[in-house]
Amino acid sequence: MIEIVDIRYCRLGTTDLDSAVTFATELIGLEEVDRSDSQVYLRGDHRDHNICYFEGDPNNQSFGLEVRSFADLDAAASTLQAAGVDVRRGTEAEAAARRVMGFINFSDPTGNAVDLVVRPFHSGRRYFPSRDAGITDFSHIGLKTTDPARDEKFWSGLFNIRANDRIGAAALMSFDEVHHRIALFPTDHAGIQHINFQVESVDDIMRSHYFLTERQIQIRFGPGRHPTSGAMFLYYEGPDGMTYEYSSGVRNVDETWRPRQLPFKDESFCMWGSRPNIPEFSNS
Amino acid sequence: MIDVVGFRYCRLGTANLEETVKFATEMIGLEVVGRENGFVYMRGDDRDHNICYFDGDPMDHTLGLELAGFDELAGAESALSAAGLDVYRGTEEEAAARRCMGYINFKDPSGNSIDLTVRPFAAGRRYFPGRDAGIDEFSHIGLCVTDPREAEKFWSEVFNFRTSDWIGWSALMTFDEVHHRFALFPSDRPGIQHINFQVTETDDVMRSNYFLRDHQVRIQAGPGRHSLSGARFLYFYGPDEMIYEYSCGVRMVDDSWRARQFPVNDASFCAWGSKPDLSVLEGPDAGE
Repeated sequence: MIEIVDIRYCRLGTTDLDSAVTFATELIGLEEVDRSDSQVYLRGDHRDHNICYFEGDPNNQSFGLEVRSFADLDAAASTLQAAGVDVRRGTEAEAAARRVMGFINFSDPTGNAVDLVVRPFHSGRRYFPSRDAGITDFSHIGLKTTDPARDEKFWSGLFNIRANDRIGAAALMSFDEVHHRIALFPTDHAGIQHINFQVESVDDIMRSHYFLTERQIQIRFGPGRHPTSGAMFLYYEGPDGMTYEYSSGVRNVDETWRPRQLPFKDESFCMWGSRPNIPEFSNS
Repeated sequence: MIDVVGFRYCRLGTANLEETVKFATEMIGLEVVGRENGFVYMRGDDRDHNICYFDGDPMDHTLGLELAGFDELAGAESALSAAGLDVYRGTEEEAAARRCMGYINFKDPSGNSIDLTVRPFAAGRRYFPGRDAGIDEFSHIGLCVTDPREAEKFWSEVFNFRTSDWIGWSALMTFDEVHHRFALFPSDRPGIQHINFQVTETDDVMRSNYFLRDHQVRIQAGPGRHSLSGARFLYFYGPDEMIYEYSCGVRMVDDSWRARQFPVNDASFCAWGSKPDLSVLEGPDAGE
């Protein structure tokens, strides 16, 4: 069993690095923490970075999960190989680019690229954005799956990741007390389906709703409230078609939590009555 | 000084009684509690009624406030007469139609018709609506006044109303701990500008936002959050162009509260960034 202790970052290829960074800083409310010629590091919390945009194919996406130690990293590599998964050890230069002390990379059965990292960088300075979006932390991702049952089994069989609720076949999964850290949404290709930042309160959700709407940003879903996690949310379109989410008030769960099955329909995604304009969230 | 102790009802003329009652029941989420002699009584809380609709001029509005007892009613009658206002003493039949044990009526300096009631009815049965709007209670109104400074002076000198905050010249006033029971809106005629019902939580405000839009109800403002009272709000139009409001989380104030002056701008009206119709605060002469 591979023990994940945190979700750290997304690495996203973009065809227009400057536009992506402008959007992330001026609209999402992230802070640029560093940049080189071809990549820019941004964050919405006190950690080193949460998103790295790099010049490249927008389909080139990966995300980073943290394991506790080099010993755990070696054990994870063995576990994955024993399960027939190809594992690649990152070079020192690649680790430096990810701002971690070491990592391995593998793909899940759908083909999503995952970094397992050890000792990712913390930051001395606190998060200080240029727009008051109220972001408190990078919290979860939606992950695309071509076979939700198979992928749920992959994550829960090899990792300390369990489903806390399901909407249709989509499993909302976590490795810690937060209701979900990875949510698997069925589709026909690999990729990150959405990127979530927690904000402080419903005030932040609603302020951003009006702020983004005024700037002609396409709102994809919300403002609304998820009956699964209880979080109030707003989904909107960011650079390269990626969906970003603000949410507030996600439920914490413990060992006594029993996963619930919700039917795959609009009201399982929103208890206020908003309707999704996100392909993975709707049947139509 | 006339001590108001309760905020009770609106009596509203309507051009189409059945359509209005249907809207109040199915859209606002009020309960019909009685129909008598052309009056329909409705409520959003456990008291006898909060709104009485009748066939009549949609400009015909009356607000019902409560006094502690008959002695206070007689005192109010003297105080209002001394202030130079005509006071009408309601008959027993008229009191019965208002579902109270006695009342007087007068018009404030703007011409707003006010009932001062004694022992308005409580109800044995609890509020049970046909739609889950989450309404807790009838809480305040927007009141049209021809001169907001004069109106504020009248209500604070003749009555126990005090100002909690100002937006422009418009005072938000109360007689108890709720941030406001009246919001004064400058206008060229008297009348009730909006009617507020408190709902339990933000979920109710947002659910109604989607529910009302789905039912093609015209949203006047919001969803938003009032910078003055802190309440989350949604305003929408009902029949006869009357504006109704749901809100939750209104601020409570006590003796230590010091009234604040806010400028007339979008941010004073909504902390979230929704675009209000500020013309309602600018009065009839705005733009001339």
